[in-house]
Amino acid sequence: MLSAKDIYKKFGQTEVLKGVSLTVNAGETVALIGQSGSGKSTFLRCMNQLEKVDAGEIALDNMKMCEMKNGKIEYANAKTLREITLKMGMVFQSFNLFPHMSVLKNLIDAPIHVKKISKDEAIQKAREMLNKVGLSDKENAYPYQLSGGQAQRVAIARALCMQPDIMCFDEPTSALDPMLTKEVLSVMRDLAREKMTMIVVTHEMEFARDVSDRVVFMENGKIIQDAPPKKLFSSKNERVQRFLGLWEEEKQNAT
Amino acid sequence: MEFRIFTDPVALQKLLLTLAGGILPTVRIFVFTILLSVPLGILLAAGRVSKLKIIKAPISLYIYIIRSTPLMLQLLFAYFLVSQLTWSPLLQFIFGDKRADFPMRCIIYMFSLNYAAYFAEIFRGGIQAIPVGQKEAAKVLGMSRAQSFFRIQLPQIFKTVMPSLTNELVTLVKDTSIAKVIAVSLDNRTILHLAEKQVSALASIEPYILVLVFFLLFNGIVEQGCKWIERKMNYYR
Repeated sequence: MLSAKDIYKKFGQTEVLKGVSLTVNAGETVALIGQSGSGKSTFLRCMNQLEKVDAGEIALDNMKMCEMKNGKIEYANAKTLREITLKMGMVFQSFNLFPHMSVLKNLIDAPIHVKKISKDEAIQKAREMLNKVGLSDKENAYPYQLSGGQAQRVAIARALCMQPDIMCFDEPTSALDPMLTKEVLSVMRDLAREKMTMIVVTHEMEFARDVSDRVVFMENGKIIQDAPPKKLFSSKNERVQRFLGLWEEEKQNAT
Repeated sequence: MEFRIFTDPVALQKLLLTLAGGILPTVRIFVFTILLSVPLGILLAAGRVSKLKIIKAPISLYIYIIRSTPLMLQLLFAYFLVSQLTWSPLLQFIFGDKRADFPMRCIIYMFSLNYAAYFAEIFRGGIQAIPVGQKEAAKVLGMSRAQSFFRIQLPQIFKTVMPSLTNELVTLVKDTSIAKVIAVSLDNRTILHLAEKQVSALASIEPYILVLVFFLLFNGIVEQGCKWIERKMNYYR
């Protein structure tokens, strides 16, 4: 469904992505793990067109977002890029709800003004999604009145209201305490169960291990290993082991 | 100090009626300047934060010139410059009849151009205060740049800049007194302009006292209005 080939990305002099290739199949949940600064968030942001890649090919289904022509990166026309945008939902670490809009308005604004569906239809869809994330009673609340976990669930509902084919999560629980993390992960677990296609950049190892179909370990702008969770969590690769070791250690310290 | 006019009902009524003729022109300058300068200021601010140097540089220069020179000088300059032009249909359309409409429109235009520069800097601050995540969220939801600006950013910008806007509006009320440097027709004179004439005609400072009260009242209303708008926007944080 989504395929990225040989992605390179530099910020100034710093090379953040050094030839990353990844394919995500329909219905799959792929977890991207690795240390901060390994390039996983940047990679996700490139998929979402929030960053432009310096080189490589990205395609969603049969639509090419960008490709190499004569050694130079070339992005598709605005119409195609927009079409791809509409097929991809995005959830941010900092929620990024619109503070001046009620929860319901947050959910229906883009469907009405971008997808041009009727207001009634948008509201119906929004209520369905709010129900799904367990926040039916919050439709008239404003973002500042929500807890972080509620805000993130609203953000997930907002992305779902656009009926995307693929959902991207950029460290969706990194700003949340363990209790709130749990409620957000439970929503994502439900989505995975419904076979929503998902790419999740996360530091939640349990989630990566228990929910995802594949776990991708990144380090230093490269994919070190891409494997089913069972295989990755018992990886022979030294760098993967070191990273997972750190996580185990931290878990021990926490308990 | 003796109050010759305030103690004479007939003279007072006459003075009040004369000065009242200056209320409408004063309010007119205020209202039309806001209507023109706020949108222009937003536009300039949007250009000012542009990455394109060809847009950004001339706007920066414009703001520099406007903010560095006195409004009174700008007004005189614009007035004498335009009045020396031959009245083409285009000028007729923009400035109206040379004798009747031109001076007042010239005042409103120059005030607007001047205040737009200040508003531009205020709105620029507001634009830069919006978290980048808001733009990104709008973008991934498929909003166009215009939708992102008008639906997501601008309402939040207004909330941040409202206190600074209030400041400028209060100053604008007082700046209307500068309009008198242009020879406007009698029914286009601001209240201060009329009061000055009355002060010399009546050899009394009482007209000034009335104008003082007028400005206090006018700005009292402006401040309350701005506070009301601020409260209106306080439904979220």
